[in-house]
Amino acid sequence: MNETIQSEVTLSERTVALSATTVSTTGEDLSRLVWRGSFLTIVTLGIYRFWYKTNLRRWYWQNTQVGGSAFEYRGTAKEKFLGFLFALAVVLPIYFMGTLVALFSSEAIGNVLSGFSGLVIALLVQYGAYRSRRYRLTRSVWRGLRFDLKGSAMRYALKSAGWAILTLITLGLAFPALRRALEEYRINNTWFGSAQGHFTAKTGPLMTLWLVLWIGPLVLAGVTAGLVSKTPGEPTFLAILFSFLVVLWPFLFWPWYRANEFRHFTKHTVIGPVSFDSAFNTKAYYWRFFKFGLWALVVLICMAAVFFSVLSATFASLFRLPIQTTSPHLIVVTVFGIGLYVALFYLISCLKETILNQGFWRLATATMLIHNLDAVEGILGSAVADEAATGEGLADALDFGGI
Amino acid sequence: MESTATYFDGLRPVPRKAAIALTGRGLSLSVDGGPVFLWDYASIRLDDRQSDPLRFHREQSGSHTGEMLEVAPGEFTSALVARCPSLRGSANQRSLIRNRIIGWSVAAVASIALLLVYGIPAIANRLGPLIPWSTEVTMGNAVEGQILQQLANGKPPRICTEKTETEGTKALQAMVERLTRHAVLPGQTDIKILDMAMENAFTLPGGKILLMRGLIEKAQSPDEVAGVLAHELGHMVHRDAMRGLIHAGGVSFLIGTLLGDFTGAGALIIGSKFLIGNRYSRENESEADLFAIEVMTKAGGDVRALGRFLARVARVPGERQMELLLSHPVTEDRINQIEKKAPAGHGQPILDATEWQALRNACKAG
Repeated sequence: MNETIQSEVTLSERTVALSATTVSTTGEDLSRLVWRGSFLTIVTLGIYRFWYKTNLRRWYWQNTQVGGSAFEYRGTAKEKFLGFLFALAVVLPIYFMGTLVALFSSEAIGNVLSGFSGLVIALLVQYGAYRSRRYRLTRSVWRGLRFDLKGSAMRYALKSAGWAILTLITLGLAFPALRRALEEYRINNTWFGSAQGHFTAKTGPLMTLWLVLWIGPLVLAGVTAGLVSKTPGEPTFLAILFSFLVVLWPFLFWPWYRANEFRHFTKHTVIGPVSFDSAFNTKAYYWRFFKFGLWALVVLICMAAVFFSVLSATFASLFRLPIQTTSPHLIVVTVFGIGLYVALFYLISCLKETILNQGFWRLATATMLIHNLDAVEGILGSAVADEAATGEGLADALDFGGI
Repeated sequence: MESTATYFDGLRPVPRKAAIALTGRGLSLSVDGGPVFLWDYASIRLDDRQSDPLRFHREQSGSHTGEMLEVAPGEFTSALVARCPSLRGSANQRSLIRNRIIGWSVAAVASIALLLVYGIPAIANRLGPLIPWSTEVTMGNAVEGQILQQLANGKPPRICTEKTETEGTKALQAMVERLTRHAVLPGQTDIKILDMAMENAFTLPGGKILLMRGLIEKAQSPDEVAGVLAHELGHMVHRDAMRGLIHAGGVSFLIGTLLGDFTGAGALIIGSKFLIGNRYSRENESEADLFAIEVMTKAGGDVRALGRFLARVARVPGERQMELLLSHPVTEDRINQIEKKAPAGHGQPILDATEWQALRNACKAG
């Protein structure tokens, strides 16, 4: 009866919910689906991704059961594909034409554009993320009732831009407040039938955790500066170690922060009469990262070994040739390099889906508790509202985030 | 044939037991032992044939009723599926979707093609000159070191014109001055001769032009070198480094959108940019030649010298076949253009005999 406990970074694709009464994910493995789907996506130059993504979502939804009822994903690959074609045919040219018109109307815009393009892109990304979430929710069904996401994607994007600016001004200190504000907007606009989501989390408890991430690098940077000034000239081993820690620190503590945030947000989410709780395990969360990192490292080392042994054979001749001519060596190495690159990312993306994403989904669902589930019987759905979920309006099919 | 199922009415999230049976007129249902009603076989929809349980939905006059029936897969469901003619929607709905996909595919292909041929070059041509020259100079300084290292396989080559008082440097300065006297440049030039055997010349962002010793040795007259230099100045004046960068960025964006976030897209982007970018750079080469013709004519030199030089240097067997993959346009087309546009007569050499000798020895003297 829930869909809202979604954490943006790692679980954004998943609908995750489990009940206090019945906690169940099936023991099935999605590896076959992932290896096959990713492969087909590559050989079809990306076209198959709409079918792959749909199959993946169907699998996750199907294997998440609350109160004995599994979720149902009713999105279709065809509507996703159609939305993509529409975006290519209409949205993309408008985007380009807009740029061109802006360029011809003002000379100064060249300077302005380079300054603001980052902000515009960030706005579009947030806008797309909200649209994408709406697409997923309107196609998520539990016990015959569908979810919905109201609110405005534009307002969400502007809100996130405002918070991003504030976070920048405060040098990152406002980050937990940003996360809370955006989650609040998402949850408060989430509906299951006639039941509305309600988010009550406060920034305070997260702020203490965030300070550890925030102050840590500052202190370490200070220590490093002290060490360097004490022994000028060659940097000492200790100074190098500390400067390394400055960079590493946020990465080391980020999963810890995220796990805490997930628990905190989940506890303060309500949908209609139903409330949630989570005992998300931080250690197990770290273990998933570690396992993925280990596998990725093995893959990388093997690939690098193959690449350099082939490259060294042809490398010497590469740069001595006049630039006008294209040597057969260059073509061979380029083709080989591209092939290896595709293979590498195929392997990494499959590992990411099977180890990280699937792992997080299992962790999150297995530790989630749902209170007062029986009260869902009082929630009403309406056949009229359901119309939009299966309707053929192109606007609904536009899944920007998926493009 | 009979079975049991879980029925949802789409109004309340409450599972209810249903007794179901296949009849001659449709699927019969009795919910919680209540009255029997019928689902017409043609109205039954099934999205996902793999799921367990299978979920049957119902559509009436084109819209979903909200009802859902969960049935464990087995003999009963096989028999049911066999009787339903339009599980994936009615024939009308399906042909509508098919036609839409075909129509929008055509529109999407057309829009991509137009953007590649007209849209992105137009934006690059317009935006490139708008970027401040100082930005381009900063970029040029940043890439120069890298490029030099790459060219020389790790060891940066010697710069022959580093000292300003040598005869070679003075000869180069004289040539540059005579060429640029009649041209409007976006900023300062920074032209160097490198001690490398390569027969080539490059223009980096920010008016940095690199001439290789090999090129000067291969030239048979000062006007051949001057023609090449004028061509490179054309790249500088046309802001080709900036335009090329924006063009490449636009193409990457477009192809990235096409291929989506599928892993390994980066490699294909590089590959296709290589092919698509070439048409654009061929146009740039041709424009730089036109600039060279104009400058050489104004300076009173031998305009055809550039054509002769290109013919001598860049004629490589099998070049025609590789046309698409070459970073420079087909030399014959360029030579023809130069022949056609050049004014009659041979003009005066850009450098006198002593200066020409000094330029040729620029790398020996230092």
